[in-house]
Amino acid sequence: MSDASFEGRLERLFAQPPRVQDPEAFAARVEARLDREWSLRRGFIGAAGAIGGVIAVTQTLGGELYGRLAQAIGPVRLDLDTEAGRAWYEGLQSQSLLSGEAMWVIAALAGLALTLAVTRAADAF
Amino acid sequence: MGGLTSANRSGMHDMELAALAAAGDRRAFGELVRRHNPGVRGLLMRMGADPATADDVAQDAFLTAFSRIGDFRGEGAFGGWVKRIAARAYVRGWRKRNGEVLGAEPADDEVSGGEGAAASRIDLDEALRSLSPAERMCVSLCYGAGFSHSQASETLNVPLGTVKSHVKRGLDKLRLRLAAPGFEPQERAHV
Repeated sequence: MSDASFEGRLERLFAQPPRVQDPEAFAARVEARLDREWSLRRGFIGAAGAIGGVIAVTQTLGGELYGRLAQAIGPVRLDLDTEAGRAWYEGLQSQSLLSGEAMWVIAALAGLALTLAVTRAADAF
Repeated sequence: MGGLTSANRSGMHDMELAALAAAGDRRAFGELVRRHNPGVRGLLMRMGADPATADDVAQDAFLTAFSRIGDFRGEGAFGGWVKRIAARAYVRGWRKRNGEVLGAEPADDEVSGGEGAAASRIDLDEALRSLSPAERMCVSLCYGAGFSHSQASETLNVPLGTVKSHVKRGLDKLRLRLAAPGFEPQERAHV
């Protein structure tokens, strides 16, 4: 047999896989590992989002935003001892996007994201 | 994607499945694994891996293939692409375990095609056992994984001449074994 024909025959023989144990179970194991890694990744992203949300809320609540905002955009120095100052501040609070209700919505969303992250992490294991 | 059933996927071409997998369809990739895992695991065993090691390396190779599925452009067969990933991974592990040098040649380099071969049917896997580890590795890389001699030399980190001589000696031995009387080629139809 010539070199070329022997090599061609060898390539054909190599192309025929030998019998291996349970190819279906092997494929199922690979799919399970893919699913696990996918869930972990989603869980990680969810957790990162939740942590970011919590940090944002705490920073917003703890940063005396209203006071600083009022000082920054108030037409005059804010004096809460005067009637006009109190009225302006209350008006700002009720009209601002960062009103008390908005804070609760943000906190609820952060809680929701955290719950989602925890459930996904639980699914992964 | 969600509407596809496993029956749909099993009728698809590898390229279609690879495109779905690149879009994140893990079940489509599972179908590719189902089709090609015997070939990949078989190659690793032919390179000298025991079945457990072959399974581990093949699993990692498929996971690597999934993460790099966007790189698969379909210029060659999907199975060949994963085989090359797996072969490189196996060689890396093999080199870590055995050092940088390909194993020494066995004392008796001569192979007879005599009584033992004639007495029983020999297939490729049995014939490969008569090769030294280095010959087996080089022949399997070049004829099983589709590496050129220079790619094999690069992967194994040995000179090109060394690869060529291992391949030549390996082929000589295989030619003797496979030509032995009693050898019945086990060529099966490709699916």
